[in-house]
Amino acid sequence: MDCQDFYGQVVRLEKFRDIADQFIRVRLTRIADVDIHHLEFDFDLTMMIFFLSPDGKIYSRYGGRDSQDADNRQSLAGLRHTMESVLAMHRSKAPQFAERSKENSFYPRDMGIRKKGCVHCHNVKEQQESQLARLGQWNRELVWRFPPPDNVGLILDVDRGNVVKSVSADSPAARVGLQKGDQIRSLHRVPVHSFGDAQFALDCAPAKGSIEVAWERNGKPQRATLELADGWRKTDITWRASQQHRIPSLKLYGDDLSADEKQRLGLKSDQMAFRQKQEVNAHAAQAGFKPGDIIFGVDGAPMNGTMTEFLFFIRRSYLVGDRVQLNVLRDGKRLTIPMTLVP
Amino acid sequence: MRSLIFGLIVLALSGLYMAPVSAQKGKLRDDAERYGWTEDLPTAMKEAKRTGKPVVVILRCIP
Repeated sequence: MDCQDFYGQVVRLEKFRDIADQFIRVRLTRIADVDIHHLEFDFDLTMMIFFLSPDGKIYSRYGGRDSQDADNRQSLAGLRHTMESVLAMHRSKAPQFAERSKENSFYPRDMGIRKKGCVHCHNVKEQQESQLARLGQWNRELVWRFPPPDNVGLILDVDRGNVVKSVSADSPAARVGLQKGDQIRSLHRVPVHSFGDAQFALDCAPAKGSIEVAWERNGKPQRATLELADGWRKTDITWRASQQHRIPSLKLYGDDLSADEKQRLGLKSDQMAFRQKQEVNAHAAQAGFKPGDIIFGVDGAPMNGTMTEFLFFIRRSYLVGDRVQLNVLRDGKRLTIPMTLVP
Repeated sequence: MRSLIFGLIVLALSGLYMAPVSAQKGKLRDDAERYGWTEDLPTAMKEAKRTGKPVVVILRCIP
């Protein structure tokens, strides 16, 4: 479903009209005038729904998407589930909130974004990153903001945002015994009513270390510590408008080799291998590539599939500025050609 | 003269594109009013304090 269709359905209160009057309803369409230290979210998204207490504290965030689309992460049934969960929290004697990271207010209209027309949400993120870079505070981990709970092995049910649909094998979640059907109560001390809450919680988690997870199974509360290994935040960023300048293009292009050709060259028939075309891009030529070179892998890891799949793999797995070692066959000899990736 | 004709064609085509977009935005604005959404967050927060109800805020960055 198109995000605009979903937005229209939410505005028309489809599937939750009966509980809508238990909320005061606000619709905002200009990020420039929103206090982003208060209503903080993943600015690569074009829609986010917040649930606030009467004194402005945040109960929950609803929204999200992945490299495919938003349908995997949001639904009207899921929104209703979150609304019911928020109402229960609102009525409880000790409601819990997702604390704001900064106490002061800040509005994108004060960021000095020079742009004709509307300031888009991703423009705010781009400006934030530029400011961090100017202050020398930007680091590579910031590329993978708002990691999905999938990265710790938790696959949440799109129609019941804080209920575990499945647990990935050999993941941090599997190692502490989380199971299908468990209801996540909090992650890293952030209450979880939705996928958006889980992402917000993980955004605050360390690049390496441990975080608490609390859940309920058959009404019984449970708690454990998730161990996060180095690189756990890494996710496909190719859909993120704010990160397009960090996504590399390999600058190599050619025709896939046939199974017979691969066999003659001592390669497996399903291995990725393509022959560089006669025209070699200047950057690739500078790295040492020549017409007719056969590229069959990167960093010593042979890959199956086609050249197109390989080029997408590079886009998903590396960043501009990364140095890679490409595995090449030239005149029957195996070579390794280093290349720094460019946009 | 040719650039003037080209300009008029571009203007007409952009008008054809913009008209549905603007109609869609207008319909959403109408729907929002009909279904009780306000665009005034400070007033909504005052109303929440008065009634004790929680607030739902939908933020849509419309491209």
